[in-house]
Amino acid sequence: MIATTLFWLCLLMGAAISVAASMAMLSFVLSAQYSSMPLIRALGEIGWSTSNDSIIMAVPLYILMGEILMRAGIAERMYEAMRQWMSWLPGGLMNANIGFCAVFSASSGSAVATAATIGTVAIPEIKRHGYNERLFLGTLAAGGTLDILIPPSINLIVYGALTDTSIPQLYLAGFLPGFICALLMIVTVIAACLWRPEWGGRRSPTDWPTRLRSLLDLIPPLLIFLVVIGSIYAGLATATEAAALGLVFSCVLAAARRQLTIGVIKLAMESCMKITGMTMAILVAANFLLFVMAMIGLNQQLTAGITTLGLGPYQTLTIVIIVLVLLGTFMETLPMMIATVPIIAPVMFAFGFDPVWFGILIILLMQTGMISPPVGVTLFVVQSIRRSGSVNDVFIGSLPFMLTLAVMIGLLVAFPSIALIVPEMLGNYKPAVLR
Amino acid sequence: MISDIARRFGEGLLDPVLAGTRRFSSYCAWAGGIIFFAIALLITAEVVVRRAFSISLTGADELSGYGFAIATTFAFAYATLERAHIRVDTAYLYLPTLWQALFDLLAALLLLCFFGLLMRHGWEVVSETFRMNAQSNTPLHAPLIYPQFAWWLGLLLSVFVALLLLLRAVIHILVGEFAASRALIGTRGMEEEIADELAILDQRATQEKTPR
Repeated sequence: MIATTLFWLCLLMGAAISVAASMAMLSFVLSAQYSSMPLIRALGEIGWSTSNDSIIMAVPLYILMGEILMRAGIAERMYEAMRQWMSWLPGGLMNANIGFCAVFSASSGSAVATAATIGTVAIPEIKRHGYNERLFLGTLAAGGTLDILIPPSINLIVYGALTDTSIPQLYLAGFLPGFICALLMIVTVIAACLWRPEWGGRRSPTDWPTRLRSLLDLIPPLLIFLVVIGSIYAGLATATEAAALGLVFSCVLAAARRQLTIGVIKLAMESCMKITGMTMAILVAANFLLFVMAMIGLNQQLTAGITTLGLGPYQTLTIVIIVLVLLGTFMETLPMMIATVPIIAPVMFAFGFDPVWFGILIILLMQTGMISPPVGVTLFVVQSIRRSGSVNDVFIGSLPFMLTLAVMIGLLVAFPSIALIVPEMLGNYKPAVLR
Repeated sequence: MISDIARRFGEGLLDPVLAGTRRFSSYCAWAGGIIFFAIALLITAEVVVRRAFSISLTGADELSGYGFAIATTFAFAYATLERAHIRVDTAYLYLPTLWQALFDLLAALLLLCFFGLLMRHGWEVVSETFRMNAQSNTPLHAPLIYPQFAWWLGLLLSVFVALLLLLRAVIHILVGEFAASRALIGTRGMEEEIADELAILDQRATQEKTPR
C-alpha cells in the first residue's frame, strides 16, 4: 500500500500533472484499489466544508493585505526607512535586506512579488555603494525565505489545517525561531564583512533628520503587523479576524497615502484570486486524500512500516530531514508541504514528536529548499531582476545562508524549547513527549 | 483538409468563446476579490463591536464562510485560465516540444477529471440540501441552498473552462501550433511570471514619474 502510494505520487507529480489533480487522482486510485466502499461520494461534502473553513479563510485575506501593501508602494518606502536605520552595521544595506524581509513577512502569498519589489529597489545599490555582489544577492534570497516562518505565515496556516494543529499555538511558536533565524542571518552578514571588510561596501550617508522623517514610512506598517500578530497573541482575535483587521488597516493606510487606486485594487484582487484558486484546489484534494488515507488505514500501515524497520525517532527524523531537503531542491514550498505533510506528520506524531515543534521544523526545511539550487524560487527572482551576470552568483551568495539555516535546524532539533517555550508560557501549551 | 476544418473550428468558434469566457471569468475574479474585502469589513466590524460594546453580532463568521466558499470555486476557474495551478516541471522542461505538448494535454485532462468529479459529487450535496430544505445549524438558520448553489456554479464554470482549454489545445496541437497550445495550458515558467511582475513595477515607476 505504501509502495503503491509513493509510486503513484511520484509518477503523477513527475509527469507535471498539477499538484491538485495529482493528489486527487492518487486518492481515486487508492480508494478504488483498497476500499470496498465508494469513498468518492464524500468528495462533494469535503469540497464544500474545505471551501468554507473559517480558519483557511485567513489565507486570501493575508494575501490581499500583502498585495495592497506592496502594490501601493508602502513596502518600498518601508525598506527605504529601514536602510536609514540599519546601514551603520558592518555590511550596511545587506542587514536592511534581511530586516525588511523579517518584518514584511505578511506577503508570503507570492514570494515572487515580494522578491521582485525589494530586489528592484535594492539591486541598483550594489554598484552605487560597492557591495560584494554575490553576498548581497544572497541576503535578498535568504531574507525572502523568512516570509514563511514569521507569523502571519500562510504556510503555518496550511500546516495547521492539514495536521489539525492549533494555529494560534503555531503562531506563538514561529516567532522566536523566526527572530533567531533573522538574527543569525544578520550575524552571518556581519561575520562575512568583518572577515572581508571590502565586501561591506561604502556606508551610505545618513543623518538624524532623515532618519526621523523616515519613521513616518516605517511606523504605520509596523503598527499593522503589531495589530495583526499582537491581537492573535493576546487572544483578542483568531488568525482570521486578525487577517481581516490587517487588511482593513492596510487599505486605510494606502488610502491615506493616496495610493489606493483602482489599478492597485484590481491587481491585488487578481493576484489574490489566482493564489486562492491554486491553494484551495490543492487543499480540497489534500483533504480528500487525508480522508481516503484514514479510511483505508494507510496511516497505521505507515507507522507500522517504520516500526518494523526498527528505526528510532531520531533516525526517522534524520531521514525525514534529508528527504525534505532533497525534495525542496526541485519543488515549490507550498505544494511540497501539502504533498508531504499528510504522509509524514502522522508517523512523526506517533513517535511522540510535538506537532507544533514539527510544524516549525518543516517550515525551516522549506526555507532551505527555497534557496537551494536548482529550483529555489527566490534565487531565480533575484537573478532575473539583475538582468545580467550568471545565476551562479546568486547560488554562491546564498550558500552561507544555507549553512545558517542548517545551524538553525540543528538548534531546533537539539533545543525544541526554541519553538515551544513561547506557546508554553503564553498559550498554556502542553508539548507532546517522545516515546 | 481535416486540419483545415479543425483550424477553422478552433479560430472561428472556440477562440471567440474562449475570449468571452476569459472576460467573464475576470469579472468573476473581481467579484471574488470584492467578496474578500466585504468579508474583511464584516469581520472587522464584528470584532470591534464585540470588543468595544461586548455585543456579539451573530453570523458574521458564518456569512463570510459562505462568501469564501463561493469565491473559492470561481477562483478555481480563474486560476485555470491563468495557468496558476502549480505543476512540478523539473523533468518536463527537458522534454522535446511534442512530448511537452502531450503532457500538457494529460495534465489538462486530469485537472478536468478532478473538477468534473468535484462538480458531480458537489451536486449531490446541493441536491440533498434542496431535498431536505436544509438550514444551517446556527442561530442564523440560513437556507444553505443559496450559498451552496452559487458554490456549485463556480465548479460548473471551472469544468467548462477546463474543457474549453483542453479542446482548444487539442486543436492547436493537431494543426501543429505547439506554442499556442503551450500558451493556453503549458506550465507558466518562472521567467514568464517574473517578467509579468517586473512589467507591473516598470509601469508603476513610469506612472510615478509623469506628473499628475
